[in-house]
Amino acid sequence: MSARAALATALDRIERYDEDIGALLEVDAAGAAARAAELDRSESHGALHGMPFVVKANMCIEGRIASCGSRMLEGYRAPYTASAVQRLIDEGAVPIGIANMDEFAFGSSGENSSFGSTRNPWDLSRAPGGSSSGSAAAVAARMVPFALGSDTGGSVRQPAALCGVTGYKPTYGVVSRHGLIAFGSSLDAVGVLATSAADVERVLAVISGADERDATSALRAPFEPAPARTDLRGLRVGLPREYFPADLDGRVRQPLEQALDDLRRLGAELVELDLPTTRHAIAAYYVVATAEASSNLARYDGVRYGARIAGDGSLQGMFAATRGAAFGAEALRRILLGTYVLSSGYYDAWYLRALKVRRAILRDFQAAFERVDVLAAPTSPTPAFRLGEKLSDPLAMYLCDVLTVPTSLAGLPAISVPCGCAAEDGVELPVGLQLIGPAFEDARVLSVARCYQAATEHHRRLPPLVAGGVA
Amino acid sequence: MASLARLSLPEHAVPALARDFEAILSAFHGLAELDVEGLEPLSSPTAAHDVTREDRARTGLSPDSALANAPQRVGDWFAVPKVIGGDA
Repeated sequence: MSARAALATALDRIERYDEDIGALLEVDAAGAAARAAELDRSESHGALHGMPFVVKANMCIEGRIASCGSRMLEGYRAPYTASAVQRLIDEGAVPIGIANMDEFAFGSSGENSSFGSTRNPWDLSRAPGGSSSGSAAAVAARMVPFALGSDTGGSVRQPAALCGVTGYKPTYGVVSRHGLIAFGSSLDAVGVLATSAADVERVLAVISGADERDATSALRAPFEPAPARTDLRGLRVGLPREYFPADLDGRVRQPLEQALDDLRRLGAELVELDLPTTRHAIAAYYVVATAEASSNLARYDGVRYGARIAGDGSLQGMFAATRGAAFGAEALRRILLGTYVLSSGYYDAWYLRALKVRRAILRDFQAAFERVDVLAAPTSPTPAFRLGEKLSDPLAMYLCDVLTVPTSLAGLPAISVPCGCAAEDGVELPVGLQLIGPAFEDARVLSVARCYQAATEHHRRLPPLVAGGVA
Repeated sequence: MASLARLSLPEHAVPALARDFEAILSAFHGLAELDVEGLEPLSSPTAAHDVTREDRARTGLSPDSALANAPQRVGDWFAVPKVIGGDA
């Protein structure tokens, strides 16, 4: 397929669906057309020749919007291009737009964007999940074959589950964070949303590998997919009891149990085990993540970029007025919480203790991986919820991440793949199966997901909105 | 806490923020239950390594590009309210 034809398809679908869905903050049709024409003229074709993609609004593309979904950075245009994006461009992929997101990646519904909520393509009255809300919705509506997102505590996997697409968070450090606007620096991972694990692998092979511009990028060769497996014989799959509580939502349990049966049928051996520190993961995560966020967001002070509000006319007054007015409610909450847990007198009891709990969580996983090859669990405790349903209760929103934050704290690779739908009020809502592997076993996790998808059809299902228009 | 974080909060937003803050912290009190004796704090999931690069100059952002998003620019500087001395 020519780059121009692929672009025309993408732009047509954006035209048709994005007015309803609101996945994209900006579409660069002219720039993309010029790039596609140039690629088609070129004699050598890259690994991702002509593939259009969108980028979450917290990743930089020179000259394009990088607002992080925040009034604070409204109109901000990136002065350089993120390493992961540059590698995609170098292999012939064509960035065509910037995807909506929860402000500074703070949220699990997409509703914290200063520029309006993205809607779930499966049911426009529901949230797409977050914070990579636009990236997930754009792939679900087949506007683009893949999108980049970022996953700090589940922000790629959870919206992937709620939108019925495949979402991958690599091992921490496998993809450079250079040009990803920081939220929680020890947690942030650039992730991929696509319609299959095989497509995730193609993209990951391009964007992974050491980068001298990110001191935390792992000094490793780029990712290489494992050979295709026709079954899962010999694979030991751990089922952490803490991820399958007795009161697990039946709408999630039923498709999950079907998925576990499928894994068993493919030859995997399923082993129940315990990750006892799991119940402390949400608290440890929100202490560590808000601490890092409060520090990273100190840079938004009205001096070098973004909003500025004069306040009382003094320098300090300008800082405080700008920050108080331009950050949204969830950003304010997290900055306050993070400042508190790092402040003198509370540091040991909160931040330091959370880091020790983080160690305990990592040890739980390490012990589990002595016994099994991968872990399987739900991605999200519920299917897509209604817009507005959790917006007034920040704690309820935090609990959306209960199944994804432990892996983020431990830096492990994890994927969410569609494993069926729950029916509610006459609509079908996708459910995600999460597969988790040991650090740097990205190829193992992805090959298991690929094998599962070769044997099942869930990842091919389309939201009703687009089912008629997409072959 | 707001002044430590350099946040001037609108009066009407304070009660709700304070309520959320209390609710979140009290929900997180369970952290204190776990015995963390002997556990090393884990500040980053991957092992740290020294990062060096060849000692060679490379081009960074041009002044114009670095200043392109500045709320207020004077020459090649970011301009801010006067901090020292009297009227300009």
